[in-house]
Amino acid sequence: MTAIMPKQAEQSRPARDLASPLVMPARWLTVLTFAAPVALIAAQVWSVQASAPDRDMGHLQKIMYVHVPAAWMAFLSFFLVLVQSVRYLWRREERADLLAAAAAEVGAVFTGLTLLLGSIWGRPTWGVWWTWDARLTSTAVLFLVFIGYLALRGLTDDPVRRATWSAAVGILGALNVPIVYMSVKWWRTLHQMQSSPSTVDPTYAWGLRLNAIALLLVLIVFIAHRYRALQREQIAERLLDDAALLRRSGA
Amino acid sequence: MNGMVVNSWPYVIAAYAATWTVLGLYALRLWQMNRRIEHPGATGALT
Repeated sequence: MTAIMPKQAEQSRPARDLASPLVMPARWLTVLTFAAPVALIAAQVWSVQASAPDRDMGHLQKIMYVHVPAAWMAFLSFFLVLVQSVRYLWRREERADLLAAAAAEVGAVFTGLTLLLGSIWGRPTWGVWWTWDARLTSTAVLFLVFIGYLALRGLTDDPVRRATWSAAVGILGALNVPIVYMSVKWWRTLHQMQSSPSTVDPTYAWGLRLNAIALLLVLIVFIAHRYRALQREQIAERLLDDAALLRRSGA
Repeated sequence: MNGMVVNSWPYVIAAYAATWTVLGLYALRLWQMNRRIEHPGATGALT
């Protein structure tokens, strides 16, 4: 009985489905895992030493190189959540659910970082660590929605129910991203207009681009590793379920 | 500068330190997570 159990469990359909390709080949992931922090250090060192103090903000302008790309990475993560959640609801592929979950967690990390960096910038600029400005409030709501998404995943052990609930919340949460992005235009409260290489002074544009590329590498590495962990957890969960089933049927 | 910020460097340093702390802690969490899955008995055996 014990001899055939692992073989039968291995052949169970869901486990086999999940064991198929990772986000990227393992060798690429290893290379990227080492390249991403190196790229981030290089981008930060170059941009900090190459940019002269801003006329109004002085050296505080240098916070833009981490704050703005962190916000872009959060938006990108939630866009991935949206795409994968729709894909899950449409085609019921478990891999889409796991990729959405990985992107949601990493997106929440980047949203938290964006809020933290904005607060550090806001204290000397606005005189407060926090204010109920439209951009800040909508970003905080986005952060809380995805914290809720992650908490929701822990509420049920049923993978189908978990994936369906998560997909619904993930889609609703991601729909908040355009509101966050447009909030500075629609409500015109304290936060300045969106910064991008086309809106900032040309001397700062390359620093912004390079930091965005470096942080994008970090984002890819984080999502790939989190996805891999979720995939393995899911396979282990299935194998345990199969083993329990076989034990019950054999008893 | 318009006299707005007397010394902005502490805030810049705090921002970069916060970035590396957050990213570093999350990277550590991912590493521990994958290690626990790859070697399920490793931590339990030591404690």
